[in-house]
This record gives sequence, structure tokens and C-alpha cells, in this order.
Amino acid sequence: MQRQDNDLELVRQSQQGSRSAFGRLVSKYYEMVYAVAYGVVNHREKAADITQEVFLKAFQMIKGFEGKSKITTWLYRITVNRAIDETRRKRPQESLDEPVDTKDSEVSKYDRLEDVQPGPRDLAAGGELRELMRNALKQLSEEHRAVLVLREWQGLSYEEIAGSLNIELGTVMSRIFYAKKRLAQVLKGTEKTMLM
Amino acid sequence: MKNQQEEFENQALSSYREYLKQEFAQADLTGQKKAFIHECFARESWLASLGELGIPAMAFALLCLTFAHFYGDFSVAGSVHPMLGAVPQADVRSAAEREPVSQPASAEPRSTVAAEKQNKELPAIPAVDVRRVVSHAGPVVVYQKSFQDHPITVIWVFPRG
Repeated sequence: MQRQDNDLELVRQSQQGSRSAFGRLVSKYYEMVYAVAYGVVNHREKAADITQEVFLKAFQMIKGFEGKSKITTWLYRITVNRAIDETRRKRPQESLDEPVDTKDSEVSKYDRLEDVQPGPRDLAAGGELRELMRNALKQLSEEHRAVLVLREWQGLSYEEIAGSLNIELGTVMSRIFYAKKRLAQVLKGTEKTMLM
Repeated sequence: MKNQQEEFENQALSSYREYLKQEFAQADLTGQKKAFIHECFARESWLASLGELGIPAMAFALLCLTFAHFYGDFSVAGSVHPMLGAVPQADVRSAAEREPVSQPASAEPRSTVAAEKQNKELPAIPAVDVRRVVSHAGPVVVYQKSFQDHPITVIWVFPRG
């Protein structure tokens, strides 16, 4: 509660144009924003660029922040939207927002994707985990990566994720369910390949 | 089977968290953050120090200055560029009082008859009103004429000797 009060005071000062107050917010939440950005784009330089763009945009829009939600919720939303836009700029993609009751069809859609297994050279070099995860995460869409990083790294509840991303609770649950399953499937398939 | 599937998923998620931890440890986020804050958010905007009324007041002042620049007349009565000297007063003398220049200067004295003859032969030079506006002891003499006047002819007269 005290943390939230401090944030509200910093937001109030930032709304009056205080750059140093907003700088304190940046200092507080830089790593958080970077983590979410990286979780979606899976690329260090892009994640760094997105992080800075998010804070610059947030400073421009700070006067529109009414304080009805936490500042972190607001930052999550800006970050995820910006990160998804960044990935879609390179590769147009069909919408993945399907109703909860069609989770089977959602699963089957991704099953049609080919598994991209790391080559023997990648596995032999150091950082096998990195290569494995990078390739496994490529099998997920940006939206699935977003809910995964918010749930598994930021520790948000389903309700908080739904509020941050402005999506239905059922959609959050569906995407996390699918992301976990797909990740396990790809890593398991890779493990089998390694054992061969 | 279901437990095995759950176990695989939990392992996958654990690997995922470990992967992110390694990535963030290598990213030098502290250095990035410091540089970014220093560059973009270290100093207070001077506008912020003006307060709520400061910016509108500044805008009003700028507006007044812009208006004054384009529409204001800051000239001082009687002032003129130093090279020209004082602003000449309007010549209120009548036409008769003004200096007529009707005859060209001649180096030798001429007889009255010859002069009369010459005057008859040559077309009469129309009287020209000369307004000696400024007189300087120097090579530059400035005459002022109105825009509608005919082109002015300046005749330099140098006294003998």
C-alpha cells in the first residue's frame, strides 16, 4: 500500500512536468518493463529499444493516467502492445483471440506448425538451454508469450493479467494452458532428439 | 499419464524461468537504465518550474512581442540614419523664391547681344525647382524629391579660381 502511495505521488509530480519524479519511476520499473518486452520479442536489443520507447511514451501520456489502476498495470499494457506491434511489423499474423470453448481448435492450429529443432551444432555449443528455449518460444505467438512472461516471471494472477491486457479471464487461462503445453511438447521433442 | 504431462509442463516452465534469469543477468540492465535516465529524465524541465500560470503568461508575452514586431511602430519622430543627417524640413518657399537654374554656366564673359542671340536659338530650359535639402562641405549633396517628380538633373557648379 505504501509502495502504491509513493507511486501515486511520483505520478502526480510527473503529471506536473517533473522529469526527475518520472525518472524515479523509470528507475523502479525499468527491469520489469524490460522483462515483459523481452518475454514477447525474445531479442535483447529490441527489448531494450521497446523498454525506452515505453517509458518515453508513458511520460507523454502520464497526464492521462487517472490512477484507477496501478501504475504497473498501465505499464504492462503499454509494453505488451508495443512489443506485439514490433513483432507484427516484421511478420503480419492472423488474430489469435479465439473464444475459450474452442481451445481444442486453437491447439490444433498450432499443431500444424512444424517443430523447429535446434541443430546438433547448437546443442553441442554452450548455452543449450538458451537455444532450446529460443526455438521453443518461437513456436508460440506474441500473445501467448506475453501471458506466459506475465504469469511465470512477473507472478501476476489470471485476473491481473486480464486487467493489464484488457482481455477476458477465460482468454488468459486458455492462452496459458496452451503455452505451457506447447512449450513442454517442443522441449520433450527436443529431448528425444538429443537422446537419439 | 496426466501427472507425467504435468511434470513435463512444470519442468518446461522451470527451464523457462531459468532461461529468462540468465538472459537478464547478461543484459546489463543497470547500465542501460542509468544511461537512459541520465539522458532523458535527469534534469527538471524549466517549464515545470513556471507553475500552472507560467506557461500561459509566457505564451501571452510571446504573442505581444510578435504583434509588436509586425505591427508596432517604434520609430522616433525626427530620427534618421546618421549618414543622411537631420530630417529636412519641408521647403515652404514659393516657386518664385526657389532658385531657378535656367542658364548653363560659362567660363568666358559673353556680349549681351551674343548672349541674347544664343538664348533665342537654344530652346528655353524649363525652370527647375531646386530644393537644396542638405548642404554639406563635401562631395555628397543630397536632394530629396517626391516620387511623382520627373527625373532630377544634378548640375555641379564649381566657382572660378
